[in-house]
Amino acid sequence: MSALRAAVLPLLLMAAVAAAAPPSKKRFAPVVLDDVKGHAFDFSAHLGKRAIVVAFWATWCKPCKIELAALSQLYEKRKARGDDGLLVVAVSIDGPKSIAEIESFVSQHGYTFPVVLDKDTSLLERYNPRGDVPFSLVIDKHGQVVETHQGYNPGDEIALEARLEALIAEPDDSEAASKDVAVGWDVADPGAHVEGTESLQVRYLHDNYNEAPDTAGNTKNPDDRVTAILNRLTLGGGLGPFGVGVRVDNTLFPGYDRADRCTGQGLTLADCPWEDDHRIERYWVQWQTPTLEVRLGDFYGNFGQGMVFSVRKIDEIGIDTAIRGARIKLRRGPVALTALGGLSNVQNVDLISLGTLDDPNDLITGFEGQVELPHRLSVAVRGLFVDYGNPGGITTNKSDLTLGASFEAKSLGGYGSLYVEGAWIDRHTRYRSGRTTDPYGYGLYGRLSLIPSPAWSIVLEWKDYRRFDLANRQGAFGTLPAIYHEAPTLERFDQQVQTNANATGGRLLVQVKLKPADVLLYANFVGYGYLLDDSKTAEDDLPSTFDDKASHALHGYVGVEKRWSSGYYLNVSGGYRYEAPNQAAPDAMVSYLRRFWHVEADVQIPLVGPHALGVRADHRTEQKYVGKDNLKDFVRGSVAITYSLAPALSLALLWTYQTEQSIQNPKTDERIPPQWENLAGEVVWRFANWGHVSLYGGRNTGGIICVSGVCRYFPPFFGGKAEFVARF
Amino acid sequence: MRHGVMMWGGLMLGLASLGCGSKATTVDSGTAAGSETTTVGDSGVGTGGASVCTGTGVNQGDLLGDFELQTCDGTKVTFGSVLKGKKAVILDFAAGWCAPCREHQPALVELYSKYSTCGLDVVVVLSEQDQPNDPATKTFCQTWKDQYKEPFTVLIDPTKKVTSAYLQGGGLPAEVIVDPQCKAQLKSVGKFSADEVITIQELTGCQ
Repeated sequence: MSALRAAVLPLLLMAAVAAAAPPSKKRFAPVVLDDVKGHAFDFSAHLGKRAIVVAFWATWCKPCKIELAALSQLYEKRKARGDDGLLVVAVSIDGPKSIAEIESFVSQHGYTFPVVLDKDTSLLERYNPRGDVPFSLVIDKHGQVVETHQGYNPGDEIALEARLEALIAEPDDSEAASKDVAVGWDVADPGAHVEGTESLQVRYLHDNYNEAPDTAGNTKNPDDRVTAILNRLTLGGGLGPFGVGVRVDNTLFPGYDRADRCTGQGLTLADCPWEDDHRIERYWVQWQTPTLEVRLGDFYGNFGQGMVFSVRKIDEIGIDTAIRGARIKLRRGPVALTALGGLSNVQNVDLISLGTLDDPNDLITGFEGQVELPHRLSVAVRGLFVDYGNPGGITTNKSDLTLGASFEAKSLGGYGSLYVEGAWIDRHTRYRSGRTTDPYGYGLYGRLSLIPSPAWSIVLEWKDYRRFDLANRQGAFGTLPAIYHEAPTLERFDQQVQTNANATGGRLLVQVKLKPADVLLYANFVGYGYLLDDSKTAEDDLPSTFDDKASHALHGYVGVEKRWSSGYYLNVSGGYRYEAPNQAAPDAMVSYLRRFWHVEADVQIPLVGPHALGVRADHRTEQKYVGKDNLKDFVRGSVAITYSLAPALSLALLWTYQTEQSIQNPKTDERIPPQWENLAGEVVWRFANWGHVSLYGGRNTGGIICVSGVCRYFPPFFGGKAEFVARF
Repeated sequence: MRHGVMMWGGLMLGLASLGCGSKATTVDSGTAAGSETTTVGDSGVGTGGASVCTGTGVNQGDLLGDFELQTCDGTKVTFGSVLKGKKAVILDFAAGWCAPCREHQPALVELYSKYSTCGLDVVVVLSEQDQPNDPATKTFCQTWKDQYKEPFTVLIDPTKKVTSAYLQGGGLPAEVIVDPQCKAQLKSVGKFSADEVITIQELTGCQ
């Protein structure tokens, strides 16, 4: 127990430091990112504006979209007055799977502020190590980050506007501002800065509803009634172009006697996933100028549309893989070059399961070269070599070499853009007998984005993948495969994708803005065939993704979106998804193919002053394929009602339901209650512009749920969670 | 006792997972062979004396331990007894709810018919039914066996003792290809792949 106390102490100290830290300002470290039109956007060229709002968002994040609309209103209002004191920069963290929608989204909503791409989430990670969106920064005319804000609730923009007004109205004489800075870290040298984020979470898992029937009278239940403390401290600093950073993760399970709870009654320690863990999860040193960036230590990365290489981080949905090594980026005129190398490094404590994972430590080296040509064309070539090492057994070495190229026409005469990318994987395996095999895989992806008029936009995507899979699946570490690329799936964010390695299909998204009413209508259709079975040694033996030996997924939905300038917002959508089994072996498909009708609604209602109400609901009437001509019916959905007193407080009530899990034997076979019992509540208090606390408690059926202005993944859960986040 | 959120964690997020990932409730320390967490060898009953499976490992390259589970008709079978006289055994961990697990069953049957004369055997270990929390039963086992017309051994692991030791919290399906010395020659998370076919060819000496 004293060991435990010893471990808790530094943790509490860190929290105390964080809590005592002044709401100081930190210097925004400018970076160069590509904007949605394909131009390089250099933040440093804009620092000095009286106020800059940097808003992180993603096309799959509903609250983010509403926030952007509100920010646009603020921005346009000032612009119309001829006031250029405010700049809004929308930073998209969309990854390869949703990047296709950004251009049409921006054009449809008529956003005139810069929209830049943080495809590998490296900018987000710097200012919001939690990685959740929406998240925004306010930068003053001295280039200092004076405010951070997580989440978006209607009315937040009122307080933001007041803040921006104050910044814009500040006298040119910077004396007043400098005094504030002096309490922080930027004392003598304005180029030096230290920044940090402290996130402390306490979770109490009362019951996860997964007890199996037990006829032997066993009473031990190791995975319920568990308390966990998760601490994450990120510290960064810089001087001119030089920067350093470190992230410390502590995970503690106070009072959890693993030896007692996980032995006896047929249990082994393997049944108990949770152990205290303390480690330096990320560290880096970097030299960054607009033309040269050298980084040593951990980094995220992304080439093109992710088909050859993509590792990134979004905590709330449990993605966080980095490469620990070195990366050099050169940007000179029309040419950009990147070279990288290192070992793969996953976040070792999974935030969803809280279990501890091992690092795969695969050796990864890669390069990318990109040239901008006249007429806004660009070409790129890239390659990645992954050496999985010697996996043991009769396999003495395994490696994948991936080569790819892409072509982009960023402006089709002002009517859209075209992007095509192809990649080829050579899988090399050497066996003890000396035999080597080189089965190959390939991926082709194309996107045509058409904007024939400001009112219309069309996105067409196509994919064709065969054995297109770059991942460590050797089971040498204890969890999901470590995946090193992300080929676009064409699927909506919340859809399950059985496999993307052997798949062929397309997607069409049409959006039209009805001018007089200012209403956006959208329709989306996706259809593709896929193979799950990849066991053929010869490429010719793999069936076509078009014939009846493949499975098929078809999904169409339509929706309508409208935002009134008074702050009311409405987005309603609905559709049908049809999944067809492999006709050659329909019984092999039993129990996971689904067909369902779905509806979603998202309503924001401003009340008096800073008070507002938000309602989000979704419902599915679902059928599961449990045999040929045999479908099982059930429903699932959620309703979240959020009251907010912007910007400080939000209260949410969450109801989730699903009847898929039948209750067969209530005495022994524990289930998540299907319906009315699943209520949860959440309170978020943003006590200052540098931090917030939140309390969550109750029961839910799990899934990606948008509540309190943030979308995140919830495991099926009955318990409580308290969180303290401070940025200093 | 777990895996309640497998489908959600691994699939609903659209991560293009090839397997049924378990971003779920159980991940152990993931330590390698010989550690306290990998206790298949001594958890099982009756190692049968002559079994070559005397190890404690669960990962590729490790010497595995023996275990005993029930077949669909309730007969107790040890892994070591299945391995006896074979050149390679595919140990396939599956569950009813796991799509890729089901999808590759016909491939296992095809492989068995092709390579069984060269010394290949297959053992499927079913831990759960069509819902992540339904422990596999003998009836479920028989339905499964009939559905895929599997001529090889299908075992049930309703307490998931063996499954969790091998998976270490990882996803399904998972396959281990075991050589006659009871060494894991290949361990793979996700659907059955060409790599595995080649490993079987290597071990059995048949093309």
